[in-house]
Amino acid sequence: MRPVPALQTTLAAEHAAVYVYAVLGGRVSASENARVASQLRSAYDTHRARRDRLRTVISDLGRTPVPAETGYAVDARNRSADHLAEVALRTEERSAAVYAQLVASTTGPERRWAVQALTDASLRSLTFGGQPEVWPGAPEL
Amino acid sequence: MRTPSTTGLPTRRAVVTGLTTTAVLAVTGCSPDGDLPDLPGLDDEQLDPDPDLVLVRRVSRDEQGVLDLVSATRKTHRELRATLAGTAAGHRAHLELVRVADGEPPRPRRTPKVAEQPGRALEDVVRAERMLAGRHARSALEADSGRLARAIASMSAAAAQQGSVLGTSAGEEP
Repeated sequence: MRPVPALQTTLAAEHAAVYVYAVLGGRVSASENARVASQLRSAYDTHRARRDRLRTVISDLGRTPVPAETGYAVDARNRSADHLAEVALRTEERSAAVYAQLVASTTGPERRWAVQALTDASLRSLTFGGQPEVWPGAPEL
Repeated sequence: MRTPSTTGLPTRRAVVTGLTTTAVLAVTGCSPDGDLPDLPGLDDEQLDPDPDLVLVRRVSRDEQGVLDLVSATRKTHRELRATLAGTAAGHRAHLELVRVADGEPPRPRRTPKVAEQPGRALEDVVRAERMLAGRHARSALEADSGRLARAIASMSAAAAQQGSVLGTSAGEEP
């Protein structure tokens, strides 16, 4: 994938992640599950910052950033902290895969940023109950 | 923005085949479009090695060094064998990939010094994993091949995960 399509794909994934974490954050009880609530809030802030950066980068390249969808399917009817963490874990695993692809598709500062985001997603997945992987973001290897 | 030399859906085969093809072309002096003209007096030793092949060898050395430490720690402290089992397996998997790409036989293994106290020994492994994550992250930036960069970046993330999980086992705050 060439750099701009890869950046657009990553932005589309970040739109979805921001939406997912907004929903999850609204489902968790901060008083009963302070730790999970804090982790979800941190994840929301991180993905929102990445989304904004991607918009800027794509605009600076003279392209129109892909917009967010009007809505995304989020499996969050079950409000248990374990279930919400599981949804967050899947979101981080998808995020790691998207950033791994961005690593392959870019060079220089954008690749550096993608490597950092891949690592961040991989570490964040651990906080949501994930286990260490042999190939984070690239399981087919 | 520059496009990496090789992109697309990376697979184990693609990472290895792409790299070895590049390396073979480099050492034979051929290009994908046809043979280069003969250059009098030019032999293999005068050709610069393929940069990605040099990078793979460095990554392989880095991985082997940490695997040696993990293996020695498991051998010295049997109580850490289970804790470090997945860590060792991960490094072996990484080495398997880069060694196929490298095309060279495994190098002689060294025996690192292991701390006498299990807790200290585990902390040394944590430190080594975190250093490895940083080295791989820098290596990923140098790769000409996008597929290779992706594989090395994934190895960096894996080492960061090991550093985090083992750090917790060593008593760090999660």
